[in-house]
Amino acid sequence: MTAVALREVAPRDEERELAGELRVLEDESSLAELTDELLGKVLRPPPWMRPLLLVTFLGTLVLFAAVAYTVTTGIGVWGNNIPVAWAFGITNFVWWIGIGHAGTFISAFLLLLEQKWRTSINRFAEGMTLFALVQAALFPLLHLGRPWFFYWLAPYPSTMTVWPQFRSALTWDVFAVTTYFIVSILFWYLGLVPDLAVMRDRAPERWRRRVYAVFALGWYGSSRNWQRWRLAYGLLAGIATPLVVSVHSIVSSDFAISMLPGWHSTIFPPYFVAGAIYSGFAMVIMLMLPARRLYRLERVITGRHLDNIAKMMLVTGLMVTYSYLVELWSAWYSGDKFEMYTYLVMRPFGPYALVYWVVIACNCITPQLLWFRGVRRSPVALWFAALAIQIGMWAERFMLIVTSESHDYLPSSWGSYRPTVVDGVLLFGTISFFLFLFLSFLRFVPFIPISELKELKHDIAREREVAPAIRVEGARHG
Amino acid sequence: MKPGTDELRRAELAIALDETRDPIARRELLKLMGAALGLAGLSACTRAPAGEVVPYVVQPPEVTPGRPRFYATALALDGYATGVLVESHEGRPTKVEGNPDHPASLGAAGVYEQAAILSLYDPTRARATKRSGVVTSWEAVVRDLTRGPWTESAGRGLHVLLEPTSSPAVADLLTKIGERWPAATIHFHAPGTPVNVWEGARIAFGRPLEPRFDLTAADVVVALDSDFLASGPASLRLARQFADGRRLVSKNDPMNRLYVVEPLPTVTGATADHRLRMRARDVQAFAAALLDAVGGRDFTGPLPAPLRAAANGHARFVRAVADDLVAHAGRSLVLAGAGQPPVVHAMAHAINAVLGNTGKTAKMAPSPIVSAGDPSHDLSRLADALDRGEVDTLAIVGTNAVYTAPADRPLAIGRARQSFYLGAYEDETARACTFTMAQAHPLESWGDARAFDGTVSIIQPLIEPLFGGRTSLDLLAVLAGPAPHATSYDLVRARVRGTPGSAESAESAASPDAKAEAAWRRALMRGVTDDPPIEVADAAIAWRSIGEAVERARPAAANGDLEIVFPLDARVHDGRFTNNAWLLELPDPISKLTWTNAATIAPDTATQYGIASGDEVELRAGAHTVRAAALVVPGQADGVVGLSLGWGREGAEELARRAGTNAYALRTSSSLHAGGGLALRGTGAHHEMPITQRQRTLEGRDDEVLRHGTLAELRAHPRESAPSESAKKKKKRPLSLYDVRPHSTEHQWAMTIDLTACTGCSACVIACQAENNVPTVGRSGVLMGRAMHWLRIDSYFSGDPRSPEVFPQPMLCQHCEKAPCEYVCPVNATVHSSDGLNEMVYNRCVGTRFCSNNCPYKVRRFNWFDYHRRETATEQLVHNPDVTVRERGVMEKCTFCVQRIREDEIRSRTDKAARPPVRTACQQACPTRAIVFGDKLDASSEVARLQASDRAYAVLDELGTVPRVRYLNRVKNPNPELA
Repeated sequence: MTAVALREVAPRDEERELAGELRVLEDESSLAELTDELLGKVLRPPPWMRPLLLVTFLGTLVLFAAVAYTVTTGIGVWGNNIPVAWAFGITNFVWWIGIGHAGTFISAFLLLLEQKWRTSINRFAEGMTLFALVQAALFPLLHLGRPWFFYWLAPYPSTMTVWPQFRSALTWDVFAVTTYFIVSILFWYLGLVPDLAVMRDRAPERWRRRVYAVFALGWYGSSRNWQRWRLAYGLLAGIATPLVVSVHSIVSSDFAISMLPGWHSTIFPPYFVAGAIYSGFAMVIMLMLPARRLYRLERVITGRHLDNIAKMMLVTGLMVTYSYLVELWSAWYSGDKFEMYTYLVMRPFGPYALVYWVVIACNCITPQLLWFRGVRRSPVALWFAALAIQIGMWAERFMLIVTSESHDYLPSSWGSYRPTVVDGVLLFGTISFFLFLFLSFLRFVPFIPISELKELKHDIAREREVAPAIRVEGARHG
Repeated sequence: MKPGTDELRRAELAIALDETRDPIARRELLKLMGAALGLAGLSACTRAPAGEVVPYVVQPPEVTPGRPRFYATALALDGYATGVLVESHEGRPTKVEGNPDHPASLGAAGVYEQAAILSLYDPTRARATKRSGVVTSWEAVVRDLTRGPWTESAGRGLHVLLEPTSSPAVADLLTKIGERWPAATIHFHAPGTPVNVWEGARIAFGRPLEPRFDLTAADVVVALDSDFLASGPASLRLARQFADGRRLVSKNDPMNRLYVVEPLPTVTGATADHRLRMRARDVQAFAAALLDAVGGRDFTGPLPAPLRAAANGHARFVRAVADDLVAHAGRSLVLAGAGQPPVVHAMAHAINAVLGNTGKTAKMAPSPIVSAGDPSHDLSRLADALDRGEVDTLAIVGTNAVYTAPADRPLAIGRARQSFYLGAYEDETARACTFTMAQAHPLESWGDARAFDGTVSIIQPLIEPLFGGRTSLDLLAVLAGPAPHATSYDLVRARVRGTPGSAESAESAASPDAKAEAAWRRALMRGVTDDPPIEVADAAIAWRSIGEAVERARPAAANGDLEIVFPLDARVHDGRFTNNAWLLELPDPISKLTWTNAATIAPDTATQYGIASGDEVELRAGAHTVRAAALVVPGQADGVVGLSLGWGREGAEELARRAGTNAYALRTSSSLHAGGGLALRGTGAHHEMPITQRQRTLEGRDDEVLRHGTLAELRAHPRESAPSESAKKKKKRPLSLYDVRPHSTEHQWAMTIDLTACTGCSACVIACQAENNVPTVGRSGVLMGRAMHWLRIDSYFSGDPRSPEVFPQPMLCQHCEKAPCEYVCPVNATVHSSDGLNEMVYNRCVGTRFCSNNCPYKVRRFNWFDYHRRETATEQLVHNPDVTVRERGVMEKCTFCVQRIREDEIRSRTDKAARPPVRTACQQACPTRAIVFGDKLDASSEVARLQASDRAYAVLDELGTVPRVRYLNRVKNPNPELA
């Protein structure tokens, strides 16, 4: 079978394969079969789905209990203090926001760059983005001393005639995150519409057809539908793409505009964006690989996907490593004793040195494994590398926030931070909630974009027909 | 109606008072408030406190709602009074400040005086008269107290144990008791009684005098284990005088020099120009060596070499100090600490006499304390009497003697037929006594007391006793004469009116009664009566007696055992304040420890025993053993363990119970202040230490944070001793994105803090807490790093960790002109006022805490919980109504006492008369006047002058925050010979 397939591939793919690349789609079935297969994943949920949903739902309930406890009792149930006024809450916020980035990056950025391999995984990644954003949004709200006044951060014509303070990065944050959330949800939903229509047509029960019908917005697959849809999708991709860069840049200014040694740094925006995409891709790997295995999606999500994502992780990992080095260098070069202390003494050798070295090991050393093709194509190795990177990126935010705060200018105010049980519950609770939302997504929504995949299949088929001609032409010119 | 029913009902009502949810109880409380309002009329001071309790219908003309009134009274500690002014809002006292007319205060107030207001509203205070735990009435107590076999035998078997007192009214009553019951025995007891001072004077002068120091006339001061700047009856005055001697307005101003020799690091030691750490028992060797070196042997005869042996290692130091003293003969002073044995005091007197300081810097005068120098101050007499079964009726008045008695001489109170205890709390002594009575708080009582120099103050109540307490005068009056017993008010008033006093000539025409009345009113107004201070005694030094005492003195054993030192605690004194949350949370001036005490130990000794801070250690001295958490304290003498008194309480006090280790359990009558033969071993357990400042070194940031230098450096290079390199390099301000100039208004507020004058005594911390309704967070809160003090005293160790220099630095909101907190707040909750204040708008704050992260000084404090919600209605009474009580979730910080500034502005609109300038609470309390607040625009103001001083600098100047608080660098005046 493989041998036959090999002979049948188009020359360009053949060249790629000779260079060690794999195909983006290994499916040889018909379009109808493909639709049936992918729909089947949603319409006939696998047996493990129910217990997993239950477990993560219970985790979510624990999260809500911790949230209720925090809101009713006070932020004091966390381990935060003076000087460490931000700790787990903001670490989790930045981490989740970062994870969200890969979704938009894959669906919008790669769409504009016409990267075919995005198709199989984009909805998946978008879902992940949304659910990560839900977790992220929880923290800035919760970490307010008086969360019931959160709307004071929004510009609205209040009777107090007070506006938010536009010089504060937290105000920008509100805009950035809200925009990002709205655009992400629109983008995700718009991409879903054709597939929801398929669900509407194919769902076995009447009530499910009804529900899907509402969300399919009357899609009937006409060329006008498709033409409008393409236009809107492209436009949204155009809007979403700068957001990949802007959101985390602004989140980084929560730190960069302050005067705290370790935060006060102009490298933060690109460094944060790279880190966000880094952790986002790691999260895609962590979710995709088990789903791929359990749903038997190896033909749709191929080794090529793993390879590409791994390369993205390698690139962003190197960017993050570079940022670390630049930070160290500029701290030393500044000659500022406070900066030097934070970067060259406090972080590597201070009370949180363990966190620092975990960061270095996970974020700088682990990605070096991805130079090896074997690692890039081994799902197990890749999954563990992604896990390490995920831990490393969480630890990086923790290190960045807590080490800088705990030892700042006046030695007298130096302190330390120890998380409480509630802090831990909130972190693991959001992971539960995230997984719960994600499993619900797998359960109820076509998580592989059926229409886009069919289009891809069609494109590949056409490419096979057209490509030889191009090659011939190219040879003539050469 | 049955007799006593009424009293019982009243006692029960007092208990019900705190049942805040009960509307009836609340009404009762309002009634009491009404009574207090009635009392507010006492500024006229013509009426006795009203017997009826009714809210007023017609507002007294002198009360303007919203405008506080101030009443002069006094608070006594170990018998010595400090005059205070108490702020009262519509009859509710809220704050204690110093009385400028009182010699022991000079306008300043210490931590104990200021924290007294919190104890007043302490809901765990005793609030009932009980017999064996059952509520009874005062009348029942009176009945039983005046009955017994001793009434038949001229008082034999009646023993009265009092706190040491200087009260003339108490003295009168004691005289009367003595006349009525000649065989009755009076005892006095407090752990802080300066018995050794009296005995030292007895050796040197033949009678138990007390030295009265005048530091304004002293250029060189040597303190022998004496913490005179922070403890003792005249410490506020001495601190002021000492700071005046090193004010350094210009670089050529004279500066005094302080040498301190002590075992445990103290505030005085931290202020010293030279500090020598040595065991408490070796201080006598140092004193002997010093006496020898200044030429004392010519007077006392040869000083035995073995006595001086322990100081041999410090010959160079002794020589230098002696030379300095001799060079300043007549303008120098040697002080000995109350914990040092009498012979050290005698030698200090001898040195002063040799140098001609006696009568100049050290004047000798009789003690204001009743029966000073008398054996009645020895508690073992009572312990013996109890053991022998001689005590029939024991009345204990205001001293928790069961708790504070030496471990080897416990009081077997149960052996008395009946015992009576008048105490503020249901403490250890209350548990041992048959009858317990609630003692009225000093702010609820009539009384009088003498200052260190004998100046008499009236103690006047600010409020009716909240919990129905009685005063010691009430109880003593029962013993002094038959019913009807005089009230404490009558006793005090009669005595003052009866005093001839130094009546002014203007009044000579008036009738004697009118004159007496005028004297009484004047006394209440000024806080001091017309009684003259106690005259300085014309004491001749008894060289022979000193020589004999020195001869008899046994040199300290040179064995390698550990020494234990029991200092009075800097926060809870002898244990009487251990239920005061402000004081419990006040960081110890040196160790920054809160909510507990610890076995302090020097770094080298700790290493030797393998002990680290927080390790639990077992201390064994003789037959007595206690367990305490160890704390390594730089600057402590090697081989010494310090365990401060006053902790490990077991009474009914809620906060005090089980906090810290009870040092009294280890303290025997032979080691009241210090003792040898201590064994120490680690138990393996570990405690977390609630310390507010964990990083104690400057990490090379001296230039940015705390500039210090010596007087010689200042004079040679005025600019460089305040090494403001950054200031020199950057004459121009760094460029700023937001160029906000303060609006030109009438005032621009600013502050300077003179680090040379600051001793780190922490009076300002409590002042700020009281003025601004700053909550306490408890031990767990401190452990989590959430102490709420708006003003904290940072304290840094510099140099050799075994004997470091200590630099205290009050740190508060710097009111930066370009405040980093302001631009990061997303909701505009912290903004700048036109007169230069960085303002915090609590109502607008949502609690992002970004402002705190961006504050380089970390002076912002966050309400992690609703700290005030837990307070009972009684506790809430302490709040200053001019300052918002913050809810949870909002940030708070120093406001430069904006409520005082605004009040002054409002008053200036209606009242054009010249007023004293606005002062912040911290400035007001500061004994050394290190804190100066004022208007920067007013070129004649002290703050403007000081900010222009060569010594002024801004902390973290290079950040460009342009703080309004400037520090004057810490200048020390070391002896060049010891360089």
